[in-house]
Amino acid sequence: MSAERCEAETYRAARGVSWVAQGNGILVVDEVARGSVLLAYPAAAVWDMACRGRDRAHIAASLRWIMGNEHKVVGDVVRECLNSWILDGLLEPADPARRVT
Amino acid sequence: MANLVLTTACNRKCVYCFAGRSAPSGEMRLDAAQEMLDWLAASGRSEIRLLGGEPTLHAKFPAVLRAAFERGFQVLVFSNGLMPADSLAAIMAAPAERCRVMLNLNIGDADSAGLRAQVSQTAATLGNRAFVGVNIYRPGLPLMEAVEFGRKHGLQKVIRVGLAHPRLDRQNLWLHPRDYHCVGDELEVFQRRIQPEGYSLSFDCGFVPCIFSNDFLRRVGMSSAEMGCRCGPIPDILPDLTAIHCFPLGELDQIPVSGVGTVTQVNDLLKQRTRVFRGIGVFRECRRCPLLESGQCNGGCVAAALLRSRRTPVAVSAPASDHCTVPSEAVKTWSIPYIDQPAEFWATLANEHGPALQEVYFPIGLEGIGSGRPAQPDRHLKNLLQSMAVPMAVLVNPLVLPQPLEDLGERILEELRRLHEHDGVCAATVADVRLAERIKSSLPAMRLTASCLLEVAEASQARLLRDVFDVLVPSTRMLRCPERLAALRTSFGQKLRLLVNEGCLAPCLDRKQHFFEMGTGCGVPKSLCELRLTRDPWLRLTGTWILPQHLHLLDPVADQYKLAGRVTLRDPEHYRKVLRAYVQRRALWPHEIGGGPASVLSRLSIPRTHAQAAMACDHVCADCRFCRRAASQTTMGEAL
Amino acid sequence: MTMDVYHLPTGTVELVVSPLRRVSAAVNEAAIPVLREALLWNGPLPEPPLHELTVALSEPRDEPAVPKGAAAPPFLGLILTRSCNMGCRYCDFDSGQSDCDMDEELVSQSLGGWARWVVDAGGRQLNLHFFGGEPFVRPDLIELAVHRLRFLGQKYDLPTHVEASTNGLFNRETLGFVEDYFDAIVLSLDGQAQDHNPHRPLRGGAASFDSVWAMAQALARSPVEVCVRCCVSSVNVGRMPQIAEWLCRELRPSSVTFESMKPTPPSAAAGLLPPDPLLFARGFVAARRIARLAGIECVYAALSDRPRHTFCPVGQDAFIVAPDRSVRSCYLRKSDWLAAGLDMQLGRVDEDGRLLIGTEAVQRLRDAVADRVRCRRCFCRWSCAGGCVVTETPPGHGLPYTDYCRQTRLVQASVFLENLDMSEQADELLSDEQAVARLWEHADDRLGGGQ
Repeated sequence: MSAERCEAETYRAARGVSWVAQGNGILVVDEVARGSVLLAYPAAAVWDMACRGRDRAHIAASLRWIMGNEHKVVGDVVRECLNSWILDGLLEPADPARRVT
Repeated sequence: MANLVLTTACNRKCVYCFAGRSAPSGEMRLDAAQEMLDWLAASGRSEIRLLGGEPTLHAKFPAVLRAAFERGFQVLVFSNGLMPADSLAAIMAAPAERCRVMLNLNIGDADSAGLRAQVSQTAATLGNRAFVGVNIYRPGLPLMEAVEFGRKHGLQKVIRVGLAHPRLDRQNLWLHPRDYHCVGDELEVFQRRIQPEGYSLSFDCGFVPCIFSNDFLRRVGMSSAEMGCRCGPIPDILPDLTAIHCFPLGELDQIPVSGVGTVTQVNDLLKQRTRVFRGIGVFRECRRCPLLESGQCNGGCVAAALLRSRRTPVAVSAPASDHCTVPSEAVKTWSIPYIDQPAEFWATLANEHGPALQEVYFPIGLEGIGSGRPAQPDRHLKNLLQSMAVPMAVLVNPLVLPQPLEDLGERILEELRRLHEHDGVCAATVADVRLAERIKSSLPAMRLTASCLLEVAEASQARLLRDVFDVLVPSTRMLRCPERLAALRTSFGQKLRLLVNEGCLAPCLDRKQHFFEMGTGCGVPKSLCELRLTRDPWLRLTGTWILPQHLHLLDPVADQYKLAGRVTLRDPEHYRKVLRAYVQRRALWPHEIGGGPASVLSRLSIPRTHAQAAMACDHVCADCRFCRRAASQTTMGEAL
Repeated sequence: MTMDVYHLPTGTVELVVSPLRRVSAAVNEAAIPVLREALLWNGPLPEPPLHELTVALSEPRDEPAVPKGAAAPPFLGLILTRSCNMGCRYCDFDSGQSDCDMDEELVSQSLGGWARWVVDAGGRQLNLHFFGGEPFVRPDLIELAVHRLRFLGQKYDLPTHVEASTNGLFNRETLGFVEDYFDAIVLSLDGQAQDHNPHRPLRGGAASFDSVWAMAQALARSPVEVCVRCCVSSVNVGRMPQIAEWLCRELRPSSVTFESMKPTPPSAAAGLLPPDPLLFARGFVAARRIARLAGIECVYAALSDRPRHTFCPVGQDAFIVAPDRSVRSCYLRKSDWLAAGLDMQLGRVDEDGRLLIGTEAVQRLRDAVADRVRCRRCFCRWSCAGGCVVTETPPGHGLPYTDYCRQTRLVQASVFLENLDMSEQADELLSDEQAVARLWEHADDRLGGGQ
């Protein structure tokens, strides 16, 4: 996939996934796998923005401001978070055509 | 204690009802209810509660009540007061100390005068066998109405208060947690008012201690923990013999009680299921609450807590079932495989299932032609054929004919003629269209079923068969494609019969080789998918099977159902159990259904929503994470 | 030690109150000289029933001290924008003319600098409040700020609290974000359509009630605490009880605040007048009774259970950051404070994100709000505390009570009577114009009366 397409990719929470702001993080519950994970920041921000339909570029740009002076590895954070959630089945590309890799 | 949901039928439509859609419409059969009572008694339970819908509408309610008393249970009936006369009479005939009724009153609602009169009449008859229950769905309910009603009819001096909980689809009126404190204040005032008269309050689940003062808790004789940890499974046992945590969470999971030793073990499974949601809490403040932290409160109603979450449902809810009708199990008929058992076995089956049994199928006794399986024992087959205890059907079902039809056809026809004339066999399942045409021409009285080995998956294929066959068993790959099945049925124009427990992988590409090796005995009979399943055990969840408790999802597109031959490899008791479960729609675990080589091997819970989702997806299983996630649940038992 | 005992005529009874001791009582006229003798001139303790009251009023009490030292901001206010999507007829923020918004950098830096400040000051929670204009015209900044706040909360292991003052005009997507992350919303809703629309039309004049009401209902179903803020003018003052009843029934907010409209050039041009103080007081007391029955708090900003020097962020060390990087103590326009002879600026956020706060500026404001001349003799001094220091009690303000003072005194006295289970006396007071006038003209409420 081209870099532009990758940056423009948007996501949504997969079926059977619930999430709730909890403390200063986000609790993500996988009803299907019967498991849960408490996302701390900055992953929580990535999750929230991804589930609200923000594309990768927007997420990375916002994360700079969210993390303030600690923004050096924003790109890696975004990539790692999104990829691991897709692999775990918690997140899926919003575009149906993109769901089959 | 346990709750038996006797029926989903109800004769009221309470605005706050959170029981809706917890289960498909249905009524618990009397024998199933008796079985549950036996199981509960063996589990050490001494009290049961009968729920609905309206439980007294159950056709055999008096018999259920009797069965409960015979087993020594204390019974509490949850009723709206609109009882049929025989149910009320049964309650009145019961020993007063063994049977009580909680009358759920709709206070604050504008009931019709007729309705009120009926409920009043029931209350007047019950007298001190009953007490009032109130579901609080908004602040400001006139709670004193409950006391006045109780006083007027001489009911017990207990008012049971409950919170109207939300359904996960939010389609009912529920008490929002933001109003809990207000309701807490109201209850404190109410309790102070009624206590001098000797009235006490009893609490349903979901109350949290922080909405009450310590003084109040002391007056009602409850600690913080007793008030705060009431949310938990009882469990509720539905008509299909699945257990749910409670009505509001019924959509999350339904655990078959089959094969689970005790009701405590069922509760443990249900608690595991909701553990991931505990700690969310009904209030944002719960995360900092010392009561939650110290275990004196479990955060209130999980369903109410889930209101705070963003949730992508597993599946779109099925259309609301009409709770006033109870569907008949006998609508669909069953084709079942021959298992080598004496005539008594079959007579018992015929008695038990009656008109639900379409036929028992057996392989034609010609080498290499009967079925794709190795030869099975058939010591008792001849007796069964001669006894005509059950309708029989013959399989002419090889993967391929071992010789050209021109050479083989006459032999097959001869054997079919003999079976028909001598043993009264009137049905055959055939895997070759030209053969079917010849049979139809020579034996027009023979009803022909197109075998699943024809791999009919397209409407155009079905169209070709409509003038030859009476029944079509489509390719089993299609089992989870109700839309395509509907198209097939329309195109075929006659009956569609679905094989429900084959347990093979839907996208399997090794079927031909597998059946060839099995049928010819040329290799060691083993599953060619073994390596693939070792690598990706989650694939078992994509198999061509459906659980009995989910069969209603296929009812709109099926005329008949069929059990796969592999179930005969289990013992006869298990065979009967599987058949009974499918015919009566009793819940089973996936590993119990007696399916094929790609079956699920361990106790894995498949909720209704998962089954729905697996029918609505695009079936690109190799790349999907959905079934992988479902298979990764290890809390239910050993890993796959 | 302070005397801090006040008495005032309220129709058929005299109210005796000591806000610092949190004591209030209703006595007859004859009791006043007895109390004076005992409390002011060391006279003998009276016999019951005044004995207990006298003992309570004798408890030593000091006036609350004016804070000193480094600023301890209770919250961070962010004026994300001065833009607004409504054209309220009494608003003179010039919001249509202002296109000054914060940028992402300032949002991020403000939060980072302020969080660090709170931690250094030993603060226990990070509280964020959005102001405007209408803050939700910049939902992108809101999203950024909330995540930044939570990131900082995690970093410093502090809980967070988010709220906003809003007109309720935002879309479903923003609503979803609010539901998930906001703790409270202060929603401006001036009553039902007939009350709200004359006050708060959209830009261009169309009615806004339906849209605002839809959002209000959605918020009411969410975990967010909804605090309704109802501005009262001569248009809706007569319907305060009905508004309260309707809100309690239909919305069930956490609280309803009634505030009287401040006259502005736009309101004058629109023919909107502030409410008559007596009508406001009557309406408030009636509304409060209705709300209490429903378990809902009815708020008049000048009332307070706890003694205070100031009823608003000014003087409480609040840091409110504006788009121009200034940190101020007040969210009103700079021109307003300057016109009142006040400088509310505490410092600024520099380009490196450091919060540069002038300690002298902080102390100056603390001192400025602590002593309001007009309030020295008023029994409301520790609750109302002079109201808004810009509009009500700016430097050099006069002594005579204003309409705001009269309104507040009447409301406070009525509430004291209600709290003493003397609702009948409260009603008598509110319906007796002569008694009201006596209360209003009571120039010195101090028991000593200056003696």
